[in-house]
Amino acid sequence: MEICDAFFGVGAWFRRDRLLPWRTEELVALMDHFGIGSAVAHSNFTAGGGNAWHGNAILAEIVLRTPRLTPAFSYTPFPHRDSPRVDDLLTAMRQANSRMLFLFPHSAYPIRTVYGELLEACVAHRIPVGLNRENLTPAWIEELLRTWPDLRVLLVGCAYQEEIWVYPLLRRFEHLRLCVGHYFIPPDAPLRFLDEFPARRLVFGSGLPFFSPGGLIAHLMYAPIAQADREAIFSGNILQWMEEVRW
Amino acid sequence: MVTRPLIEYGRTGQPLDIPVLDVHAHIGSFASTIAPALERQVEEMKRVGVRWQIVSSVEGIHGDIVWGNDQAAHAAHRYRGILFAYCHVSGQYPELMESELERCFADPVFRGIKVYQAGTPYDHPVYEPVWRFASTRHLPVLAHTWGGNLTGLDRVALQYPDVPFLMGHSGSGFAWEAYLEAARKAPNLYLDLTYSREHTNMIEHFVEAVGSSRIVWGSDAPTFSLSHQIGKILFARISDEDKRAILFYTSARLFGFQP
Repeated sequence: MEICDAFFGVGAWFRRDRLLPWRTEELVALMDHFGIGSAVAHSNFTAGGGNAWHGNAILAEIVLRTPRLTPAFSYTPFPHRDSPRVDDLLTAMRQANSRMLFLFPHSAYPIRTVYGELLEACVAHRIPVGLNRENLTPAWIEELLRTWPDLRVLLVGCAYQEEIWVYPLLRRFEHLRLCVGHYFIPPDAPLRFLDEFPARRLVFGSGLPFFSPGGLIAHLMYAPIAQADREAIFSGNILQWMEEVRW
Repeated sequence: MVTRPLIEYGRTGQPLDIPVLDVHAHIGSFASTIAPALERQVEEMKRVGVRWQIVSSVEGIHGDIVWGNDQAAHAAHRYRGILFAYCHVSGQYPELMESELERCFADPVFRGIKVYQAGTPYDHPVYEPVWRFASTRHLPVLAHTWGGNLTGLDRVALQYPDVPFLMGHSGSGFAWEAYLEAARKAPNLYLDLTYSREHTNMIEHFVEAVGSSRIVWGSDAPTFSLSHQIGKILFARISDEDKRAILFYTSARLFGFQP
């Protein structure tokens, strides 16, 4: 079973718990233990509140040394004239073969004004955008999905009792995919989910190095679902999205 | 005789053929999620290879205590020998404590006491009849805790050293140090690993720090996935002997189960 981990952070970050692994070689050893062949890696530095531009540089250096990782760059749209622009980001992504963008926004930001130019570019280039639910409200996510109906959105970090708003969003917005994370662990979740949505709407993402993937892997392996669906969730869906990026 | 490494069961989705006892499970639904039917819960047990589950009622925890204990008993009778029950009592309803304990434990499907953090600390005097009952009847107590906040359970464990207390959701919020500190002080405190998340290296660290003879496994099904919860153990970087202890032998000793 090929596993590509779509939610996988690399590098050091600000408030690390000392139990957590952070060196690339530790993470690669964990990939081997869990049978994860490849990963779409984002920068822990950026995810942990650091400057995205520096986080991208760290990420680019790590993936150069680790061919199993594909970089997912990040971006913060600063307003200053001398800040990096969206075009600078796209150039850097092309150079590093980055085929996904991971954003760590906050719901306090006005979405159209702050993120409009960036997300238009993602639509034009079919760049999938990962969003961590952690600092976002469901209403903000809904506005993003409504405003950019062609944007490819992967939502990660939803909790196990958030079906109450995630399911209605999935019904309304076809361009939303969900990362199997904490959300996706109620019993019969794959069956209940696949009763209503096709397997292409689900993407495996472990949350390493914060979260260990064993539970998620077992959850999908024990689920009585079609093998083709399992393969799509474990790797096919995210790999297809990345293949469809057009520069 | 088990010959395959336990991680292989998780990698391939094969049902376990070792004894597994789930000491932290429920029946019923929380406010924001509707649980699948009880037969689906038991089907999942069979699919994964979990032989026994001790359940408490979610609705009972939310205040309908007598009805909840009735439902737990009903489920255990319906799936006799597979499901067992906790008697839930609450510090918010002290007038029901002793009568419920007597009523429940007249029925052998009840195997332990379940308490929840609902506003009254576990070391409040109102809980004393419960701890005395547990001590007299040699019953384990599963106590909900969260984020390292034990609300007096550690102090109670020292006062009642003959009662096994299971610290529900040990390590939740990644507050692993508070749980270890408590377990080191009171040898009758056990780490219950039931938790929606799976912090990297935490289970391995728990085993290294206090040993698998102090750690029990629960799924929190049907709130969480049983297969997800057991995958945490199957894939953990600990020995298979430790995995078997966590999945059965430690809790079997406390609850009186035989393989």
